Amino acid sequence: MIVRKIGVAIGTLFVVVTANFFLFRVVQTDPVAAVYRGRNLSEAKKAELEERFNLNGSKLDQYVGYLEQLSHGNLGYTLNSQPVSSEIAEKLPTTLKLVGTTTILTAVIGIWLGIRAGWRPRSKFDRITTGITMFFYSTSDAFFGLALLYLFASKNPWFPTGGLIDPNSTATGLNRILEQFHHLVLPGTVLVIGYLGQYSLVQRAAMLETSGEDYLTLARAKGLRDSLVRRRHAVPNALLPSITLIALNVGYTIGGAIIVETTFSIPGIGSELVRAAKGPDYALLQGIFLLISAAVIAATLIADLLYPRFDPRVRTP
Amino acid sequence: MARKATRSIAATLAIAAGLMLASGVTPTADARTEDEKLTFTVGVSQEIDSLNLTNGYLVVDYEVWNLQYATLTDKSDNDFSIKPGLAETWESTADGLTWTYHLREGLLWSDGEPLTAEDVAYTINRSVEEEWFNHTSITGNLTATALDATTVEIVTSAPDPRLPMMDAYILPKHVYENIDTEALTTYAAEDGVGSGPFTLTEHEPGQYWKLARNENWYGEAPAVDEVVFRYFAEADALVTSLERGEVDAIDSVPGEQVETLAANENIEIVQGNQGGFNELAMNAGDGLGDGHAALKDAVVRQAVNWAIDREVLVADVLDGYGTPGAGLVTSASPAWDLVVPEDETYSYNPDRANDMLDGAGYADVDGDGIREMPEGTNPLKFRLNIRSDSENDKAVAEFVVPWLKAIGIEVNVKAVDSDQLTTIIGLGEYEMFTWGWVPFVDPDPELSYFTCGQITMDPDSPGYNDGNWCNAEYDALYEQQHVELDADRRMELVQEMLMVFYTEAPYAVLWKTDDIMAYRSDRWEGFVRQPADTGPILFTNSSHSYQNIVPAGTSEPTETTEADTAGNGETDDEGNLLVTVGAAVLVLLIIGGIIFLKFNKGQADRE
Amino acid sequence: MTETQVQEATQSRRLLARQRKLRSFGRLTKEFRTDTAGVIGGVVLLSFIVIAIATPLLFSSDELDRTLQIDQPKLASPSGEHLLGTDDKRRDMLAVLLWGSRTSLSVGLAAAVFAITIGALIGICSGYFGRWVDAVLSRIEEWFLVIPTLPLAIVLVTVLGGSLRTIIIVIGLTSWAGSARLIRAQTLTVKQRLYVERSRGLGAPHRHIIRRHIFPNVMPIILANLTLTVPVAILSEATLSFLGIGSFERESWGKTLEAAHAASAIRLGAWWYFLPVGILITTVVLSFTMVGNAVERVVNPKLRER
Repeated sequence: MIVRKIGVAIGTLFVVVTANFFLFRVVQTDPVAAVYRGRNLSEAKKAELEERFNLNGSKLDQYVGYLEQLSHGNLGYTLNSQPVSSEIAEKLPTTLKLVGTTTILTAVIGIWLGIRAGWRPRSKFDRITTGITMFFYSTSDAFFGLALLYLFASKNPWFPTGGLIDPNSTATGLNRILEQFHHLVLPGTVLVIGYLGQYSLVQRAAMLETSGEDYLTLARAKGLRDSLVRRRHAVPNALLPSITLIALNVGYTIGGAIIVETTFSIPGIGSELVRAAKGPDYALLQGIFLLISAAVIAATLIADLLYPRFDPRVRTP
Repeated sequence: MARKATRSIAATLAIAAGLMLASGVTPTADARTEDEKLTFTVGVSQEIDSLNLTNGYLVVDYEVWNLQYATLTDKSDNDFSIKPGLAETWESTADGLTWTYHLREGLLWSDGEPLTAEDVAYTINRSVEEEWFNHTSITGNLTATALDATTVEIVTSAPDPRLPMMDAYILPKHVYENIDTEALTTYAAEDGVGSGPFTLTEHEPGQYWKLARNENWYGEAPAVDEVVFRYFAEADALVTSLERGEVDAIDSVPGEQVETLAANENIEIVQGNQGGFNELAMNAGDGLGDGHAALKDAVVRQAVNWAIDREVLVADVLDGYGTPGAGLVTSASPAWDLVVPEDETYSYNPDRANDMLDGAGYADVDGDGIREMPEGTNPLKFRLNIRSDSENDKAVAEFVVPWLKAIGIEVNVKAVDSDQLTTIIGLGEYEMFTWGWVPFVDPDPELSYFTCGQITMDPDSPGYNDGNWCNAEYDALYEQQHVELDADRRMELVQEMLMVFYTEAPYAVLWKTDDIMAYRSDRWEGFVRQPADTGPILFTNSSHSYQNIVPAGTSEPTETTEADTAGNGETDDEGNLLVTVGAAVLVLLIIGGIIFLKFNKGQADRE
Repeated sequence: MTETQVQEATQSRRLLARQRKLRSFGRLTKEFRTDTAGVIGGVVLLSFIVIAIATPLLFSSDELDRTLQIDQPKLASPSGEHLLGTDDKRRDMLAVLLWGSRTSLSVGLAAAVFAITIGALIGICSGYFGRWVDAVLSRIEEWFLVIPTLPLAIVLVTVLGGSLRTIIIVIGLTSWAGSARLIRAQTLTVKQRLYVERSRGLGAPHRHIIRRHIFPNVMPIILANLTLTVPVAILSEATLSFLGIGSFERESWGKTLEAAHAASAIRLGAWWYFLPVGILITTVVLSFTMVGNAVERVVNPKLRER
């Protein structure tokens, strides 16, 4: 079973890689030109570059060559003649910080809201949280970001207008981290509030489902306090879908990060993707798309593999 | 495609080296302790594309090179006249073809290696051999020989009116000789070894780059210890950061924000011009590609020129901070500008444009509002490429589309980034595009770009002639002025060339831009404009401002900025606005909440 | 009863079917009307659609041409002359927003219809034919479910070019998979029903069974999914336009947000440039979601318990 799941994940990734190759090879007729733009090259050098970029031979040969390159971690060159992989490596930590922090916060707050809302469905708390999360779920992230920027950076200069760190900052160690955190408050807020619904709604539904189960009725009948029943029995079982959701939501959060990084001028993978698309810088676009897809596929696989470990009911023989 | 400014801030070629104005008041160094570095931070709207001299071409790249590399001769901040640089004296043979430069004694690179005539000869000769495109417009005809450690002999194959001016960046041989031709194409050039007043120490891509004072520079030590350039993707953030004092100066102020900034007593705005202009270029069809046949006809290109209202563009797009375009600008000095007779000046006259097109046989045969070629086929539908990072380009497109529609030409706009636009131009797959140039001091390079030889005939080795326009008369005049040593006669020739360019109209020059910069006058003083009175203070043709600025009051750095800015921008009006917006959001939240409460209640009732 | 039987005997079966449909439609509308949120959402939506259609009567398209606005004030705050102020192109914001609503709504609707068409085709085929067809289609579906939507949309728009049509196609392509999965599940249930099995046993052609039996029964799910996909599509269009990857051709709400961002509206305090458009997007998306939720509850009674 595990082998099958891994197989499916690899298959999905393979389709991404293949689509990447054909999609981009259709539009980008001559990747070499992008590299030696503006320079005089000898015929020998050109041939060598074509060799390096696998442009000689049939499309099939080129495709095999492309796979070979990928396996060496070679993603090609940007319009600025920089290796795509190093360009990505530069921007990745920023996005990881943003996405990582917000994912944890969103999950924790969202699950907590969902538990409370789901334990007492149709209570005031339930209606209010459901209404509010629904409202923010319906707001354009871009608009939400602009509104926050207007209120808390422009009108009241409590937070920076953008970026990740002030270059004049001499802060080191913990202070530096705190400063980065200060820069991430507004963009993080957009992501956290905008995506709370993902967790709270699922968690709420899961609570509803478990609260109807016999063993809870039994627990209550035994005279256990309500909050104890909730904490000891209902929550652990209902937590399951949300935990896998963290992994499954990586894709959404990356989408949010693209918008937020653009709105707050944060130099991460998301704003880089937009820059590449506007260029268009095909090699860079291709590389970032591949990376994001691979990350999401890996996360999905992990969720898939973890789920049965947590829930005995879906454990397969 | 070199040296196009993606924003209308000034580009530069030469580097300031020799000149140290007596006005540079030395700050009281004892006011600062050792770890309190005096940092000058510039907010910029452009990111470095490459610090490699063989492929970078953006304004910000030039600013780093201006700070980091000294040149043989320097330019005066007043009028660009020649000043000693690395070389203290020079002389030529009677025919003007051989020049001998004498370097200062004891020159050192920032890493302590000696800087000798060898470095100069090495740079010039290698740049010719490998055709480094930032160097060849100066060094193309030159051969250099190091006679001894401080003497270099430069021979030109044709008379060159620009000599003895030698403003090509000199690179450290001991660094570059280890980088072969192939490795050089992708070399990041962040070695930080230089001979100018400041050298690169750190580059955080997409965020900032830092330069530290070069203690081995031959000139008088600047007051500033460190220059930081911080990149802002959004114009908003750029301006805000200046207001808040997060940066000390910014490279561009959007026209509509000038008023608000000017009201701030801590901020000084400097409006300067050094020849930068923007154009709507047309593909005249003498090169590669699939440009529309109609644009081969000068009449159509002229009609386009008559259909554009430059006054409106300056007033609306630039908020008045510019001058309507009057032809190609070829020099940072206005002395070279074309003077167009009044009756020949393109003004906004769509009727005239329509008459010209009617007269030349471009009729709208199928009645769809778009003219066809005289044969009655091939409607006049043009592709217009604009730069995706330029708000001005977008605005120009929004005006040009309806204006040209009014004379029966359909325009389809596409936004791409500068690198991609370069490729498209090289392939000739366009009818029109918008971009700008910032000329050097001598008109020769800019003039040379529009000769037939600069038309791209092989996309792998593109030329500069991005109008794909070839004109024998223009070329002949170019060759004459290129070797004309009499200054007045050369000026006449250049004027003639500019007039040919104006009437043949491969470009519709839209405006001459002012660079609007701003700095914190509560913190700094001593900025130097180049050229005097009319030029900008930063991103000029040298680095005089960086060498001369001192903290305001010429002593200790001020510490009042935080308090100052906190008080700024907090009027009652804005307070009310805040309340309004807050209330609006709250109302929405409440409505949303009520709807859902009701909605959930509805469900409950039904059960 | 007897009357009905007589009718059954005399009238064509098609008419009967239509009546049955009408009756069940009547029942569904009645149920929908008990859903307050759905009704509110529906009313809001209808008025938006009416205004969008009527826009050309209120504002001529010349209002969008900045060459004709050069005598108007730039970034003026709301006033009697310009109810929602003007933008940095000196255009009346109300006119810009109303014209933008036409693009946003029609792109949203068209993309959703496209997405649901794909979703229905694949879902029904997958559920009905089963076996290798199901296996293959499910793999495709899973692929689209796993791959993050926004990056895929950005890549596709870039490669295919940013016209309005491409954007509709791309949004459609990236948002059909979820519906396909639900429609497949419903198809599987319907397939099991006795009369469908009998029909198959009698050798009716696949086309007939799908058209007569399967499709009418999955229709409600399709409808509910359609209403729920429209807001997603509207947000996607707004996002792509905001990122500057969308269409150049026409005004849309996303484009207005992008323009506000680019024109420093935030810094200049020009709240009328981004606040109304943000509220509009949120309201329309919320309304569609409420209508969609209501429709889903009506057609899928199991959900009502929650």
